[in-house]
Amino acid sequence: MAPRRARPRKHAGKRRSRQSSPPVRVAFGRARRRLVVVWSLVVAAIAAASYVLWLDRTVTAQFEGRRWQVPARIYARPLEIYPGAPLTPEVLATELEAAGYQSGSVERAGGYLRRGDAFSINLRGFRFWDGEDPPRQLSVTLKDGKVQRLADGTRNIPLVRLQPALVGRIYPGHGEDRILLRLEEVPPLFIKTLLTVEDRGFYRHSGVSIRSMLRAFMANIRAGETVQGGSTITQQLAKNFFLTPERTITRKLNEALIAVLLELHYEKNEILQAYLNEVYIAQQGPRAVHGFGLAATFFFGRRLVELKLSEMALLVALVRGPSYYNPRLHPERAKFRRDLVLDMMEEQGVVPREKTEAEKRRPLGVLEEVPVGQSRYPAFLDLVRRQLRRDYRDEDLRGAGLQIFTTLDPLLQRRAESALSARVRQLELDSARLGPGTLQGAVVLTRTTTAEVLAVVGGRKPREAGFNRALDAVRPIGSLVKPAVYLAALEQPGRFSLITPIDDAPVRLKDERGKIWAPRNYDNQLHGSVPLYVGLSNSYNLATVNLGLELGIPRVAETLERLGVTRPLPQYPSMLLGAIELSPLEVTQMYQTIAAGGFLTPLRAIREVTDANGSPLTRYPLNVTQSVAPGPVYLLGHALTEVMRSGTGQSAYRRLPEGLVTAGKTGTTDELRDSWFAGFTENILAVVWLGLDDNKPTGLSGTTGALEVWSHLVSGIRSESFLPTAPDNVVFSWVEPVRIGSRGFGFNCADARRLPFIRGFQPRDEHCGQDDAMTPMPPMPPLDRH
Amino acid sequence: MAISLAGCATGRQPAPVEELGAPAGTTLGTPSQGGVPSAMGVPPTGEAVTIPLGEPGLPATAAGAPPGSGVGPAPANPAVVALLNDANLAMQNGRNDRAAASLERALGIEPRNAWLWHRLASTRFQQGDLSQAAALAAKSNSFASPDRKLQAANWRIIADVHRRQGEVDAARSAEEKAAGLEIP
Repeated sequence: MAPRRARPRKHAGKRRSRQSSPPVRVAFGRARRRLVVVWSLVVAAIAAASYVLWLDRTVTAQFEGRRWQVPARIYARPLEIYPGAPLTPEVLATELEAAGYQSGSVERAGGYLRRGDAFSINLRGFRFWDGEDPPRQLSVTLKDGKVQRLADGTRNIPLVRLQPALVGRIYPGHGEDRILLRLEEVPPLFIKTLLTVEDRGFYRHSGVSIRSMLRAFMANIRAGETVQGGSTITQQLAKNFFLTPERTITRKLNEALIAVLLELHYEKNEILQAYLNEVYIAQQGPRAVHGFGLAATFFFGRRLVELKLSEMALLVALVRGPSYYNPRLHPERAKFRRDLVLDMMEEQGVVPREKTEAEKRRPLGVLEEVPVGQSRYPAFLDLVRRQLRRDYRDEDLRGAGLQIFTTLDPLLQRRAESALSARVRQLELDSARLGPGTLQGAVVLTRTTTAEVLAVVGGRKPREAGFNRALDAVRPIGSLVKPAVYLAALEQPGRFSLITPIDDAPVRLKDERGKIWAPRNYDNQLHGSVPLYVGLSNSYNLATVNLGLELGIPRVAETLERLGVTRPLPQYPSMLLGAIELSPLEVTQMYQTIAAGGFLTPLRAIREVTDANGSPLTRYPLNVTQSVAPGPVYLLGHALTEVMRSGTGQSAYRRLPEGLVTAGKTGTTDELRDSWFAGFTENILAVVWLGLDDNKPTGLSGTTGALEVWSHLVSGIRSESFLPTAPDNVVFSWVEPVRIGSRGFGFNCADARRLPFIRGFQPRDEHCGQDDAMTPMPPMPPLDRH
Repeated sequence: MAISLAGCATGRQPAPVEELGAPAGTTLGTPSQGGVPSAMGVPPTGEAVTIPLGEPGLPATAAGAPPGSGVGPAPANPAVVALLNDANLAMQNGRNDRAAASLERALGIEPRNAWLWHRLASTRFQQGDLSQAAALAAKSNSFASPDRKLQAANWRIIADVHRRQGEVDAARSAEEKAAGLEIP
């Protein structure tokens, strides 16, 4: 802006100097001098006129083009409240606070009251992607961890969405932040307050007001310092809007000139609206708070319409000196000036004396903490940003005021963060090897049914942006690959079932460079012939390699691809034991497909994007692809529950409730460098990685490390047992696990268990209890936990 | 063409709504046979639909079957019913995207409700997203057992998708599956 303004003036100056060469002869001289004067005047007039024209064009272009850079706002998912919904009073209170609601009174929108299990909420209206949800007087009654009753006033309603919590912003380069307001959204009392203090003649003057300049001049002389500014609202806008902050006569003149031009082109109300959005009110680090819409949130956590007179007066008071009157740093100064504003209101007859006296008795009411400035969840927002970059240009993300509705569940996000931080600290204490503060980790949490990402933790210090391990720590996945090997087998029901014997016997292979590859089991034992599902649940390396070699590596690789792994896969045998490098997020995608019954759904962190006015721009719908047949994936799911019941995951039940059916897989890499666990219930999938940033060994296996974090996390989350509906082509049969392989299918009903088979490939003739090949597993009661 | 017409019908939008992942240029319309998805679009009265649930999209041929027989996974949850009503309303107004959004919200509440997945499949079909329609119908079927009627309705969607894609044999085989399931 400034350099462009400077250019024409310089130009004009040059021309002027060319005209003034010294006269030679006197007789000729006088006429010539006159000519020079005339020419100079003409040139000066042309220069001035073109400057004004240029200024006029710039001013109108600025005013009409995109005037404001508004950061993108990122929201968490809205909480759905409906009778029967699982919800405790603590959770509801936390959600309300996160959504910017204030406890204590329902007098104003955005307030709530809690009496035991009953909540009254003065619900704000909110514009969602699919329309405006109206404001309501809600009452919510909770009982036994559930919503018992939901009413709007006295009328019962079936459901309501809480406005979502604002969890982050994507700022323009210069850090300006604002919430745009339309004039009709601004309370008339606020406008009266503003004009009373800043520009009483606003609707009468034409940009500059000689009267108020004189008045200010006199007042300042009397006071011996600057106590009043004589600038009109229009001049202040011109100053804020177009000019640099130096205090010179030229600037004052420019300001006045721009003010007059603005008044020539625009309606008073357009100018006022621009001012309300432009005025600079506060600073927080690199973030510059502009406009009264954001100011109301920044200081009071409220919308402008919700403010009391005393609060409006404070905001107007701040215009004169945002840092001098900063109410968080200088509350006395701020109160003094606020009361002065209230006095002016009374003086001018805007409000009666009793009212201003009452308002003056109020405290400032400013929130101690600034509501969400920088992001609290940098790792999750990192994922959101990456997904957005595929569809939006950076400048639109930063400046166009997009509203981004994500799938983040703030409560689960916090649980995941604290599970990781607390466990890694404990693991370090328990370990002789790990130095304090060195063990790192990542967690990704999704909703299995919709593939929505609920939480992302990128490291043990979740508030610190930086290396996002959930997305960028690409590590060998170890035994996490095994389900793909077993799934590839189960997809051939003619050859493999869950009880097909496989050999846990030594393997010696030469790789392409002639090096011998001879993997061993984690326990260094050989287990002989084991049923297929035991090879998986006990994570036997040799059984898995033998199975994988029998299937062929390309087939395993192809299965991994169908599960959603997109990275190029190595085609050598060590890949069967997880010599494949993936990030925790990529692992999550793979297990998401297993947890969702073979339906591949790309992980989603964003539901919708709207423009600054709430008009929908992009929706990211739920898309599914059936990439694995339901039968085999059901059998695999069953084997993965066996991991938790009797295999490498069983220690999780030291914390998990006994009746909660879960499925999962541990992963450990060479020399205990990476500790993984991926596991799910009916509705939640969590993937945990632990390791060191320098890739040195941690001394932790999947079981002793990541599973610890996982079980802490999952035991604290309300979730339901993993009991998928058996596909029509799956039947159950009783088999006795111990003797499989050595003696065929013996049947000792005391030890026998029911396992699923693809119809037509189940063992025959076994009857323990009231077996019925069609009955699925006996359901266990789902558990509600918090 | 069909898409641009739909755009006009909703009036001038300040910004186009873009469904990511939806195939471009596919035609909109209802499935052939009028059956499956048509049962959902229009509620019986102009008012709110109370329970449109016991009737998993009767195919035209089975229209004479007594209503309520082989009742699907009728969501008793009033929140889900309310969202289904919203979806119906949105579809009547030609707002298939909004209908889909309401159904997805309902699935957030009852993720294993086969009926909701079926409705989402029909909505996608109407949006012209054939591959999603078929995949969602299959997803519905993964929860639909033992509701044979609903399973049949899903196979009808799959058959319609195959037919539109010119896969005659696959369409016939899906129809046979549907017919088999419709036999009481």
